[in-house]
Amino acid sequence: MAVFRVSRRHFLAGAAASAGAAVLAACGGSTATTIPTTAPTAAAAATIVPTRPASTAAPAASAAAATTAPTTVAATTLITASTAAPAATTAPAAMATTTAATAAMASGGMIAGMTWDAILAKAKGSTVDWFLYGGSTTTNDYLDKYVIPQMQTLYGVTVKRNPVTDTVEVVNKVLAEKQAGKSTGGSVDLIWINGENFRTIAEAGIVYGGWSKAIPNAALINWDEPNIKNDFGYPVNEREAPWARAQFVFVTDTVKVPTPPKSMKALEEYLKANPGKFTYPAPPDFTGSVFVRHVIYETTGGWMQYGNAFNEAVFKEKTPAAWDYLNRIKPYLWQKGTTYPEGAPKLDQLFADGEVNFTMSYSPTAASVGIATGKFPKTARSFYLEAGTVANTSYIAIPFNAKNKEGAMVLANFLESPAAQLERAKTTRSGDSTVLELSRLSETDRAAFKSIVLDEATIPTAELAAHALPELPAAYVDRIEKDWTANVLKKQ
Amino acid sequence: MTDRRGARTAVIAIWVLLVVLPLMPLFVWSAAFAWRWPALLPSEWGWRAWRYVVSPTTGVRGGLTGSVGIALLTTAAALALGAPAGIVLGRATFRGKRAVELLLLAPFIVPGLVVTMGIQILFIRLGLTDTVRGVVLAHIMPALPYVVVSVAGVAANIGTQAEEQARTLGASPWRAFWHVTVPMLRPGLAVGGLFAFLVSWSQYTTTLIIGGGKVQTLPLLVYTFTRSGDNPVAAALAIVFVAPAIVALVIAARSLRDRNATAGRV
Amino acid sequence: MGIRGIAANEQIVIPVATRRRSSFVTRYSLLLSLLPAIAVVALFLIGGVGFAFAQSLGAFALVGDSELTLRHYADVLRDPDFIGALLLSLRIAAVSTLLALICSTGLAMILRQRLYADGPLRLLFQLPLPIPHLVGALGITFVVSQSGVLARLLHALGLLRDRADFPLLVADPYGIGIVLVYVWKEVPFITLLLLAALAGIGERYDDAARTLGASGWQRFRHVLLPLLLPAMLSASLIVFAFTFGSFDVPLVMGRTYPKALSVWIYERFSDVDLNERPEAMAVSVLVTFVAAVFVVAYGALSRRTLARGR
Repeated sequence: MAVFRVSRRHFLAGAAASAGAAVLAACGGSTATTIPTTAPTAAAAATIVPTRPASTAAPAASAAAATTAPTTVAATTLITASTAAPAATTAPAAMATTTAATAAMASGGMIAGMTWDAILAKAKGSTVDWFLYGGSTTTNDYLDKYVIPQMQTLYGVTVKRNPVTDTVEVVNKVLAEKQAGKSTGGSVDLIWINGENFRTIAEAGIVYGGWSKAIPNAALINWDEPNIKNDFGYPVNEREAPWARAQFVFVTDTVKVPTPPKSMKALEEYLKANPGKFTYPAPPDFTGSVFVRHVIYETTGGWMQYGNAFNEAVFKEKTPAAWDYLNRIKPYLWQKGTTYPEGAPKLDQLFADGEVNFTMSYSPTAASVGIATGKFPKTARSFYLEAGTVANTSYIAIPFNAKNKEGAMVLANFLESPAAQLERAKTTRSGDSTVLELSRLSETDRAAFKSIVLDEATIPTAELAAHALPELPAAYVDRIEKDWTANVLKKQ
Repeated sequence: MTDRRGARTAVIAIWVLLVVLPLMPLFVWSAAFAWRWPALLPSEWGWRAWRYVVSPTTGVRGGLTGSVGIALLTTAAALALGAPAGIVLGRATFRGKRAVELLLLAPFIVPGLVVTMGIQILFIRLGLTDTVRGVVLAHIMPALPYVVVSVAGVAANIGTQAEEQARTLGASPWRAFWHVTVPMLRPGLAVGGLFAFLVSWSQYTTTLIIGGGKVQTLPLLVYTFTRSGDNPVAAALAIVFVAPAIVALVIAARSLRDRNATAGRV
Repeated sequence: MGIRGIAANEQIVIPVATRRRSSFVTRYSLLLSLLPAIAVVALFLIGGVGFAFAQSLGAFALVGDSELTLRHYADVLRDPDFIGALLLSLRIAAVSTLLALICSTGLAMILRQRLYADGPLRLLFQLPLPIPHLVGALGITFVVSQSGVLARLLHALGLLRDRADFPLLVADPYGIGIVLVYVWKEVPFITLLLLAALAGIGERYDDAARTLGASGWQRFRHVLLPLLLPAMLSASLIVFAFTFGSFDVPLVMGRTYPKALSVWIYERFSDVDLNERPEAMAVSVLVTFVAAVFVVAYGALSRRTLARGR
């Protein structure tokens, strides 16, 4: 069993060996280095045994904290200065509450029994190789100007941002490392990931588990919320940490489209009256793919019928209606549907150039950001489908063979801190949507989030949240993309 | 006659325009803040893209140093490996020479994508992926033929007469080679080196697959921003990306001319 | 490929001296000089293609068992998408090569005039040579896309009502944009090669034909063209093989469907479904085989060139 040094030490120290099997099963591979721990602090497998009494009740949690806090976590050191106080009370609490029920399945909540202090100490002076989409200057700015220097100052951790064009590249890289037998000292420490890509690394057994709920700031997150607990319907299971939220919106230019079509039916009518003025990115592009899922939701009778796991019969019976719709609107699309923009940025460009009247985005503030960077006309506005609009979460995950798991966890923890979340909201104009549960924050932090003002180009967060729809299970997504290619793209 | 001359001038003028035209919008885009259809020029100008490019925190500098360093290392390695082969191929006859020539020129034709994809798994096992070392190694193959061809060309042109004369005058073989032939080879080495530099400079796929996103070079950045539709930043990066190529062209052209002057044209 | 042009200049000269024996080069130093270069190229070519071949047979599989099989070849050859990609790539390569060859021949005829022998024009027309394809693709997209500079100019002149009326030249079904980039990039390359060949041919034949009263076209058609043909062919081979296997231009300017073969390969290679990887490798091996045929053809051709030259 290939494990990294510290893990092995603890493994040999006499961890519950019986837990091994469960861990391996959960992580889907013998090389996943999730080693059981002796310390009963693990907040493991809460998704399997959801025993946490109250995901919100902060006072209760605090009370629990009072008794169980001195387990292994020294919470005060974990969180950035501004928020240390509230987090210190809540952080160990959530962990403690899950302890009893999950001890048997413990998969190393404190990374194989290491205390957070020990993790911090080990991370100090190390370098974290973070691989993430690099084409957004606002996100890059946030990381380059805030996260990277802060990580250096607060924790002595050097963060290296490795920009990629598509997350698939990173997944592929780790897969290739596994293929070549490189099970330690891997080159990727952290990936910005979700959906199919996460499912892929989980099923290939190349994701490191048992950590994301154990890091201190995880206590500020409501892990019972479906959109956090499951990533595209796929159980997160402590293998990734949420760090940003996304919800699908359309953007249009109100000068050209004063009353935007808010349903698929209205869209079809609009297209017939204004041919060539709409298109969507070709799946498997992330954004194009979710547009197609919205079509499926609206034209086949809702998302509920698809269930929690892939169901071939339902899929085969229901989806033809969606392909029908997409083929019906095809002649009225940009370029008569003979080609599609290869990604959301290309669609943004078409919209910016006025070639089409709409663009779409997973970022609810896309219109505001577009106006601010000069790309979109000042009259650009967001709108959403009345039947609901898909929301999901961005996560970060650590590959099974990452050489610096400790550093990656410290970084993940920092990204989940109220200070970092607030800063992100400001620099990326991501609005007030945070992965943190506002009720678990200090009064000051809560107020700070609430004081973020959205401009008129963006829909208020609460209004959007009220229309949130879940993602389909990840297994569907892959199939939808393949079937779209066969049934829509290649249809003449 | 003047008519034909006029026609010829017109053809040349059009050609020059066609050559230069695709580079012009790069400059405009890089300084544009908003440039929407159908405006002929940006409605708002701005330095956002250039600020992003010159900022020390955005990673562009890292890409630039990566590109320069890798290209220099590749050049050195390609010269060290390719020059001796070029000299021999330019001057000697031996059995199997044809095969050696074909092998050394094959990277001109065999797609780099194929070779790199195949060799990735070996590189991972050798711990060469994600390292500058590995990327340089992967760049050598496409760069090598340029060195071989340039040096061989010059070596063939110089011939062995001067060296033989030096021998007649009593120089040892090594001295004759080192003091007579090598200086005459200099233009070939310079041109070959420049080619090697530019080949490495332009590599995209090889760096992506072997560098694994960890070794950043300019083409990776240009591609990322082209793909993300951020035209101003993509254009500004493209300009930075092109600059050394143009300098190299001027130097190469000059050194070719010098050599032609000394070695005489066919 | 880029700057290969200037190098190609020399290539033609290689054989002139090959028959001479060098005083310095002994058998021993000969081996010593060649071995490092041969080793590196062989390592990559044979190693790279070898590993690709092994993977195309199903070796090193990450999922499933690693039994050796030809299944992936069969799968690929039956896949209509593969055929589509292959045809598109062949078409792009053929059209690019042909157009570039025609333009280059014309340009070489003009530039061979002594008038332009050493001027700045000679330098200027070589400008695209060292410019990376990626930049060429970006620049040409900015010019010929439907909201590009050309469309804007036509609109400003009142010749274009809406940009949708401008022909689709980027991400179009025929790969026109891709062809434009290749022509832009390769014309200087072929031209340089032809100019070098023309310099080798000299003015004698041309002058003789002129004395015999041949017109300009006749001199070109019956005197220069036959003499240039070998150089044209070998240049075309290189350009064709290169454009056929090149990746970054179709990646930037290609269409959702069908895709160029190189993009098709890369997408399968980088697909998270690892079962796709052997297929990518199988196609790679097929492409390499085609390339190898070209290498040999080029070898045979350039040998004939030399024979003719003597």
